[in-house]
Amino acid sequence: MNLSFASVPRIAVAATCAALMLMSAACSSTPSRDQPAVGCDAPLSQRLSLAMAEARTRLDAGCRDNYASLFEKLLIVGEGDPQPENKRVFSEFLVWTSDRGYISPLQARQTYTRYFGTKFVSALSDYNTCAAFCPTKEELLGEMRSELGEKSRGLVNVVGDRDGYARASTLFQELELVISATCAACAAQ
Amino acid sequence: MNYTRLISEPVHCLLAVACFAVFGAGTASAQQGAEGPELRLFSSTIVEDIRRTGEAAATMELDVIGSVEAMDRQLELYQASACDGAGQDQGCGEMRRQLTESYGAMLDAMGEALPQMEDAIARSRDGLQQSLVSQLGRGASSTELMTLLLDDGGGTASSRPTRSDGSTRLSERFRQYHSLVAGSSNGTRGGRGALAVTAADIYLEMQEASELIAITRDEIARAQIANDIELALPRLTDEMEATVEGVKRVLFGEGDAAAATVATPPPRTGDTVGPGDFESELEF
Repeated sequence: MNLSFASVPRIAVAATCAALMLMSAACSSTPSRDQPAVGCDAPLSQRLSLAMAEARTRLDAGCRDNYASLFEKLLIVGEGDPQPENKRVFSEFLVWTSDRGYISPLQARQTYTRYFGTKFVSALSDYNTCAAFCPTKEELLGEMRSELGEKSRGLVNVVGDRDGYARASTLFQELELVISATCAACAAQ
Repeated sequence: MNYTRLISEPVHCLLAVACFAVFGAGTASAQQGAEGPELRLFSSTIVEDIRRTGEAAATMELDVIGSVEAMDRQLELYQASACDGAGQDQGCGEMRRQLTESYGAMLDAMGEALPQMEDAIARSRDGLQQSLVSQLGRGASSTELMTLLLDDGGGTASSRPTRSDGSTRLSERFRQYHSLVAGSSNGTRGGRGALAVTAADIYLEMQEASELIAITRDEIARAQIANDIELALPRLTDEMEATVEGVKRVLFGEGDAAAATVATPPPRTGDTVGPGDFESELEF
């Protein structure tokens, strides 16, 4: 092949175009940081086991920012077929997401306890009641009341455990009574 | 003037306080929990103060019952004599005067007993207040309170004492609370949760009773003045009849509610989680 000066610019242009084409092709297959991966918001399967697998796949594919939405979708799927076994399924999913680093271990425990546990995450505190709970008692009791609604959804709608929800409800009533009396005593001192 | 509320509400509170006097003394023996630190919410001093409060309530109840029974007899005679609308009949006028005097005697009895009740309740309340602050307020976090309430192995509303609603005769309440105390001391794990709930309930009842007694003392003073005017111009008011009926319901109990169970003994120890239930490591 006889390369002459006249053919050099054409070769340069062709090489440049080829490079640009390769770069655009690469960009189109790599998810942008500003946009979620394709399918993060798509509906999940209506069978919980399949939905869990799909959720795991999406998280691994880059849908980490859609975690809250994914979990909400899983709850909706679980409500479609309430079973005691669903408690284990959700626990295993939360452990998996924590192990993968998509949420912290504390977030995993809080989420599980909020929906499927008896205790109230809103009331967890290491400080004494007079100092930590009483100053914002009404606000904290309101958060507990809201959390009781989440437990109703998890325990009754997803797991079918009415006794478990009754225990949580009774705990809320008794805790409200004891805290109200204790805070009144603290204020009177 | 609503004499029914004037008479019935303090007696409601006194019934509750007197009943808790028995329950409080019984649960003092249930403080030895099988797990966790011991709760000493009911010291011997507090139990004694509650007992004296119950005695004061019982004394006032006896005084008021005598006046109520007298009014009841007079009212029956008044109605049997068809004195309603009898106008200037001398006999009816005399009966109306006697009814008004009996009503005044009832107000006087309460007016004399209420200050003693107020002092007794204040002593009990202040002692219990100290216990709540030291052991539950500053001595425990809300997390520990949840653990304490759950560790009883309860979690069912029927295992806890309920607030009195004033619809059961006092003697019947004593019997039912004694049964509850006897059940609490056998077979239940801990009992600290029930103790905390009981202490909280009694304290709030005493708070409400103190406030109500203060209001009632003022209203009795006004009622006594109004009754003195009635004596000058005796006439039977609808409020007086309603008051007598209201006090009778409080002291002798509602017909249907008298047989109602105030509270049931707590269930025997048993796991709150069934043998096949899943327990996750994630749960707090």
